[in-house]
Amino acid sequence: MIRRNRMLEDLDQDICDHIERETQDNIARGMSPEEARFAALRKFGNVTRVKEETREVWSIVWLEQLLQDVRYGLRMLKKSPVFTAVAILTLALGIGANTAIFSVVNAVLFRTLPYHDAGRLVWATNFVPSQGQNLVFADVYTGWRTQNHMFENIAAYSDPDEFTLSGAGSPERLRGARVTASLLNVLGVAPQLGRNFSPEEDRPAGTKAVLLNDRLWRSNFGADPSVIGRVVALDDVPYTVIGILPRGFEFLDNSQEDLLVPFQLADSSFEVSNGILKGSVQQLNVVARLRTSATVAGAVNELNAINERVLESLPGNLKRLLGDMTGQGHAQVFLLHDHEIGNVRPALLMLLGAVGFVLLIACANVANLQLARATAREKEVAVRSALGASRWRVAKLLLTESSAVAIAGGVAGLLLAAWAIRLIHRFAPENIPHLQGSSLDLRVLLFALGISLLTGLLFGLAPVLASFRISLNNILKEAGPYSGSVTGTRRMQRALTVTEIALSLVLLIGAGLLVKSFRHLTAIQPGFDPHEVLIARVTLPLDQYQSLDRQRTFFEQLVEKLRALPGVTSAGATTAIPLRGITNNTPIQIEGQPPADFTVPNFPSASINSVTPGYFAALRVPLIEGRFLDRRDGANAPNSVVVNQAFVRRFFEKEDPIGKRFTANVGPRTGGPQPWTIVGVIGDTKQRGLASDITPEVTASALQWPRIMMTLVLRTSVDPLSLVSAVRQEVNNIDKNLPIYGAQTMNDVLSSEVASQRFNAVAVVGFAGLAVLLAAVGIYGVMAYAVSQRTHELGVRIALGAGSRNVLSMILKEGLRLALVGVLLGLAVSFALTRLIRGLLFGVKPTDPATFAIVTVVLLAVALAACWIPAHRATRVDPIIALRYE
Amino acid sequence: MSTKEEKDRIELLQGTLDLLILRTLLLGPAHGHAVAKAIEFNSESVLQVEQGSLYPALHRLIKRRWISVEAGTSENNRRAKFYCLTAKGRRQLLLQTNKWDKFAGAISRILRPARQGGES
Repeated sequence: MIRRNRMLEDLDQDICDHIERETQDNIARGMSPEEARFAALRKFGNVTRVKEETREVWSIVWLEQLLQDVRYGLRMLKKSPVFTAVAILTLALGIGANTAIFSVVNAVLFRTLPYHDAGRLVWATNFVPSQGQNLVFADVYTGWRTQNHMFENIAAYSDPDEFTLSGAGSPERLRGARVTASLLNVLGVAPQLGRNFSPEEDRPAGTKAVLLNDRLWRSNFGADPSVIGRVVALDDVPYTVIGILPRGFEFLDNSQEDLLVPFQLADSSFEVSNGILKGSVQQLNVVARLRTSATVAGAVNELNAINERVLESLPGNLKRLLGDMTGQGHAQVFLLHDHEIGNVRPALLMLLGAVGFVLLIACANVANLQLARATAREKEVAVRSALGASRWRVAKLLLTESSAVAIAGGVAGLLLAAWAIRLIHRFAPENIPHLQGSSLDLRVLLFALGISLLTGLLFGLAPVLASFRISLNNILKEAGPYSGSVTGTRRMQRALTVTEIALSLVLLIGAGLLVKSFRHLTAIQPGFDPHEVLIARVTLPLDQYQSLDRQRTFFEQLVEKLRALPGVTSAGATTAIPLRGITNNTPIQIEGQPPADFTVPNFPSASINSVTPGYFAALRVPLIEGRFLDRRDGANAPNSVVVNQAFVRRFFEKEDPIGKRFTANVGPRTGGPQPWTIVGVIGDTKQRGLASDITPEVTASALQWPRIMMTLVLRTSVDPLSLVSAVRQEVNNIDKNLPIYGAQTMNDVLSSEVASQRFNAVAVVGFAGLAVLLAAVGIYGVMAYAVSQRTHELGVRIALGAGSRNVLSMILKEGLRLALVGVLLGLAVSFALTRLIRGLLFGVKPTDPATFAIVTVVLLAVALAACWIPAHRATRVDPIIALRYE
Repeated sequence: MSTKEEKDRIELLQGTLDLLILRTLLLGPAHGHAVAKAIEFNSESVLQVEQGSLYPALHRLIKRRWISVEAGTSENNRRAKFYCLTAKGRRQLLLQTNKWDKFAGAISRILRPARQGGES
């Protein structure tokens, strides 16, 4: 530092001496003193630059310059408050939207799973193409468990189940899953209290044990450690509490489970009699921990090989049926993280891409503003260069100014993002896991800072490039507003505007496709009237309601009472509520048709459910033929059913189904096939979901075949949810220990079906709207600037007799040309990009011509409107003033 | 001033100016103007050095301690700064000269056959 100061102190003197010596030399060579001095100076070069470069050798000059530039930049920004405000607002919108979406991506996609060394956890399954679903049954799992070399450990778990907990406060309906004893070991999770299941507890018919989660332990057991060893009743079966799961424990598949019980899985799931499967094949979910040496691809190969061996070991008559479900090539292995977030990833990445486009457009807009201003500042830049500022030095100055704007925009953007995140938390669909965890954490803040600086650099580049083109002579010589770089600046502005239009077209097309998908989805008729319908679930404890009579009486009584409630117009109950309904695949044999072959994959089957009389009226499911089930179909009458239209299409294409009979192995009587008579045909209802296909369905009467788990359905003349407590009261009047749960309106069920599509559509429409607004401002700015630059020329034209119409169309044509180029570019990009969101669309192709056409027209109209104001202004140029304007 | 035609002059390669300064100072301490003159004279004015660019280079070398500064008086008895080569600078010069010879040799090996081919 001291050395530096000493060296620099003498620099001025050294340079003076140097030039003096050169001058003396020149004089000695015979030049005149003036000539000699001039030659010496020219030979030396730019003194200021030499001094500056020498100083730079020594120092942290860059820091001093930066502070200087920041001070200068802020002063310049203060001098043009409108530019500064518009630029900051534009950037704030872009950065805010990006930060908000990134916070969601950060919370959902970049989140690490809360398990030990989660990177080695995989989720494995067999995908059965003919069924369109995953199927791993006990035999396959046993094969995988005993024969694999790729996994350190492997575990299976059931789909979520429900249990009624009694013996700890008032009875409560809880969610639980059946898991193998190995599950917690695979995940690397240990109970915070007590122990994991023992192998004995996990054997078929082993002792009943239960693990509680932290929330349940605190709310129902007061966080009492002595709960370990206590016996509680789950569905009235005694279970011993053996442990408490750690606080914050997350179950798999983003599902919240209150408790875990041992799976007690048998090695094989078949009993074979007469070639017909007895019971059902239970679907298992499998999670495993890869050995450090193993790979996902290796695991897939091994599981496929094991599938083959499992198939070989099955009895002959099952091979044909199960070959389809077990065969080679079915095994799929996913990293657990990918499995957990796989279905939301495309949508989130699409949103991230969409906001990225918005930010690019914002950048282009601010760059345009900067360019317009840069022209006004050309003189300043020229003077700086003349005084010895290098190009790089000027560039640094301009970039510092841009960064100041960008950081201000970033700060404002963070405020916007904080607000947007709250909005997202409120309106985002529930099926995006961990979305509520999104916040402005450190990573998100760094992201915001990063994109702020990046945008500053990006839009700051435009004026820098423009400054490089500045020709000193032209600018310093000319006094007027015309200068050499205007053409270059305008070319760059046009390029930026074309880009903006292209990007907003892509966003608009994406938004159009998503809106159309959403409308297609909501236009699907669910097959019933969802308005003003309340549903709530009741499950009878089996040990108190063992006899069919008790079950029958309970629901018969309850439905009668509910129907009598004020505000209820009709009431019923069903085992399978539409959209949420559990469908089954029960083999049936139609009487009078050749004996069915149950060893082929698509054997004759239907989903068989029960409803109480009044159910169809409550949901307004239409009757197509015959009659509904009613009181005539009581306990002593022949078993009557109604079937849906899909059933008729499959089994009675050319016959009248009314009066026909079929047999199935299920029903009120146990053992052996029992006959069912078709008395009516009802309209198809969407059981599995709006977008799913409709399969053959049979609906029996709950008076003939009562069930313990039913969903109550009430059509009301008042607000459905206002009746929830009345329903609970009626249930408790019959059985005071019985909880109702899952109360909601059918409209809510329907709208949660389309919630994610609605969220995607709304978000992208919002971004596209923002993009179009910015693009419109951009094209307006460019045209307005062009008109102001051409005032002189326009004045001449008008003076020579050009009518306002000519001028108007001239300017509009120019704007439209820009818009057309942008639109063509945008169409090309859209063709390439929309196929990436194919998976998010429903009933509409990624290159839907109607959407492309409408969006193009809309955008061109917006562009035309944005050009209108400057074009109109051009017609009012006063030739006298314009010609004097120099 | 310009004893050579414009087309014969070549712009200095980045960093070669440092080398030329070191080479000049090998002959003994000199002040700035003398260094500039020596480079110009020795290269028969082929190398075009804006004299001003000498100063950042000199300071760069001082900062690296390849040269040092001494106060003295010049021919005409004026106070002047003399730049001298340090031991470290001498080592660097040797190192850099070897490097430069290799580089120049390689370039000429590449260029020469091409020119012969073009003429034949």
